[in-house]
Amino acid sequence: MKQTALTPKEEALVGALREQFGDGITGHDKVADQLSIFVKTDIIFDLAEFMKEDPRTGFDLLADICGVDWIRCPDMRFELVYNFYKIDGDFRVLIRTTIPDADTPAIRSIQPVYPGADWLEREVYDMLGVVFEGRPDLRRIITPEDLDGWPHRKDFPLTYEAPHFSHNKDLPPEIIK
Amino acid sequence: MGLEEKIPDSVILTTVDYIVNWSRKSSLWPFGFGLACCAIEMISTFASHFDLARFGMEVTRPSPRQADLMIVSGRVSNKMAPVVKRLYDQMPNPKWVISMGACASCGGIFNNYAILQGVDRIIPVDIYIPGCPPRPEQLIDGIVRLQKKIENESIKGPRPDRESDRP
Amino acid sequence: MSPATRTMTLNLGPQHPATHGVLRVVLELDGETVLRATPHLGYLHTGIEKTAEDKLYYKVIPMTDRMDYLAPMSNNLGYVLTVEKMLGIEVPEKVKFARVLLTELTRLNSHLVWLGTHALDIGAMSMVLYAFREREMLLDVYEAVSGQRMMSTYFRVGGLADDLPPDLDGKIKKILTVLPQKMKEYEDLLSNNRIWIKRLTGVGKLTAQQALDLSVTGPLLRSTGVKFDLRKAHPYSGYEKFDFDIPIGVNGDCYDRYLVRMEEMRQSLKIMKQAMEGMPEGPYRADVPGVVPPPKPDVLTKMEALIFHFKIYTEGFKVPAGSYYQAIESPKGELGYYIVSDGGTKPYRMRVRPPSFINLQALNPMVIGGLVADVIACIGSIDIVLGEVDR
Repeated sequence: MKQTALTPKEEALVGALREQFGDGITGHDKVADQLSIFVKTDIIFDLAEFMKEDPRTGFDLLADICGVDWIRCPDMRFELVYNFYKIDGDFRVLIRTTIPDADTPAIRSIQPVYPGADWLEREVYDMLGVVFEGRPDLRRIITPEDLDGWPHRKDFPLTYEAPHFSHNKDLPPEIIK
Repeated sequence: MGLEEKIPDSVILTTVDYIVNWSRKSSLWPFGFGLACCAIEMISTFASHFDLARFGMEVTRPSPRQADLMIVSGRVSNKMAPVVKRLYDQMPNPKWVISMGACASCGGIFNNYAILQGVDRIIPVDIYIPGCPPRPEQLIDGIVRLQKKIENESIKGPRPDRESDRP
Repeated sequence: MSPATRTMTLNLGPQHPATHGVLRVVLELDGETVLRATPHLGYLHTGIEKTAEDKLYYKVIPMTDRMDYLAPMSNNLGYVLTVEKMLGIEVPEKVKFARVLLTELTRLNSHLVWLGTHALDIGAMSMVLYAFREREMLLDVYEAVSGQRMMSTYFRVGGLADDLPPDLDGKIKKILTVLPQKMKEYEDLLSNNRIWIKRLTGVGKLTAQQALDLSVTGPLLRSTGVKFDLRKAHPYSGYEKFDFDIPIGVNGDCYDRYLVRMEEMRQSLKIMKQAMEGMPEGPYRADVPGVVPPPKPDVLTKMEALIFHFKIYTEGFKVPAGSYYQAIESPKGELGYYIVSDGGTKPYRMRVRPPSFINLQALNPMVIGGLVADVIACIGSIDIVLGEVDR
């Protein structure tokens, strides 16, 4: 997709973030009307606080958290995309951070800052197995509690059938297709 | 009321099967629970425009213990499957099951880790209704066909809802 | 623990008729007062996001219908707008107007079902019969344009599946004249009904700050007094050309949500009227060879068109690598699609921001301190669709 130039409002935000976090901000890009800022994993909590409370930002809505599994890229297994929105002035920014650790992926939770992140983080945990630290009640939210594996990981087969029922409980797990 | 005038004090001869089946088919009580998209079409069928009450079925029961017809309306996920099975087991005999829509019948367009590939893997089904979702007319047709099926049953014959008669 | 302080745990669902599907809520009660409500989700988990990774771009559209099955066209719209944005396609004016017309129709559809089922839960049994009677008129339009009553799959990447039918005008006019009268009837029945007021006023209160903290959007947020509607804030599909208002509430309780949704239905009718009257002439698909299928007469007469037709429906089309997030205002709130492409013919990852799922987080703060019967009123007034909550 085609890169576009930043508006003054967006430049001010990127500048403020760079001033606050320095090396924590690794870059930014803009395609169409969508601004993405790449950050390091360890600043995510401070960044969330900054995004919510600083007068230069004031993003009041955490719209979404999305997890992406980049299984073919060894140095960035999981990417988390935090979607912040500011109602006053229609300003949306995607904060992206990557977790290279494929075995025990973990990141600090932002649920204490944005309570709305509660279920979003639980869903990412449920689907990708990324552990959010520093928050209570991190359980599976959508899939059955005894499911083995993380469905949205790319190495989880799409047509896996869990051996739950009387008709298949004695059989080994099979892939139906 | 009409019937009394036509049948004065007299004796009617019929078979036990006929009278039992007639009463069973004319007062099917569906279990009022919905799963997914098909549930909305099921409500449409019960509501004013299509009016299932014309077929003696307006009494949806919220409790499985008072119902004898289960309409599986929508996709059954792996998490919901044990619940559906338990609800079916809680219904008293005799009981019938309509699998409404493609997802309940065979998984539909969702051939994946989350969806049970057909509700007939966990409970016996009497009538399958195709469609995604089926129109209310199709559901009514399915119910009428179920009534025809009930007419031909025998109280002595095998029934899939009895544990001992299952294959 | 002494008997006086012992709490009770009550399980509600997942097959309870008042939970609008298969929601399960575990309530902790002190007598009749609710101390905590814990929703348990996933009883309708369909794996749509994962399945989309295995489908060609145009084959994902039928699955979006089945998420929020009360607002299928809104789901289609969000998806096709995202893919169009990634491909850089600009659709003809007629397509934009038709999409606005049908998405507003979808909003009416969703709100009518909400009104019927919510009133049924509260005890106004006859409302569901009235609401579903009027809904048949809307489904007639769905059927006329797409051939299906519910799962329309009518919006396609780059345009519409087919041209609008010639008799659409009359069907829309019928809705525009009949529905306002019927809505007045509903309001006569409900708005000043003493039971209705007592069951809803002051129940399930949310403050604006609470709602924003919980990422709540849609009528639920607007009922607390925050004027946020993506149709105005970030117009898409030509909404900036239409004249309409955003109703907001004051108290943030269930009664305000009822008022907000009723007014939204009126505004939707207003938008539909403008869209119908201003509907331009022109093609119903953008002319983008290799992505948008060529018109059928061309396929039968021109070699090149036949090749494109064949290639699109067998191989699909490629979307440039990158990712994009597009949000629209669905009847439930902000519905967002985040699609990651690796340059191939299938999405690498499709994430849906489900408004019902995120709005449902507000259930616990809404019901704390209320009575058990209020839980039903609150679930109804959040307006969830479980197909979208669990996906």
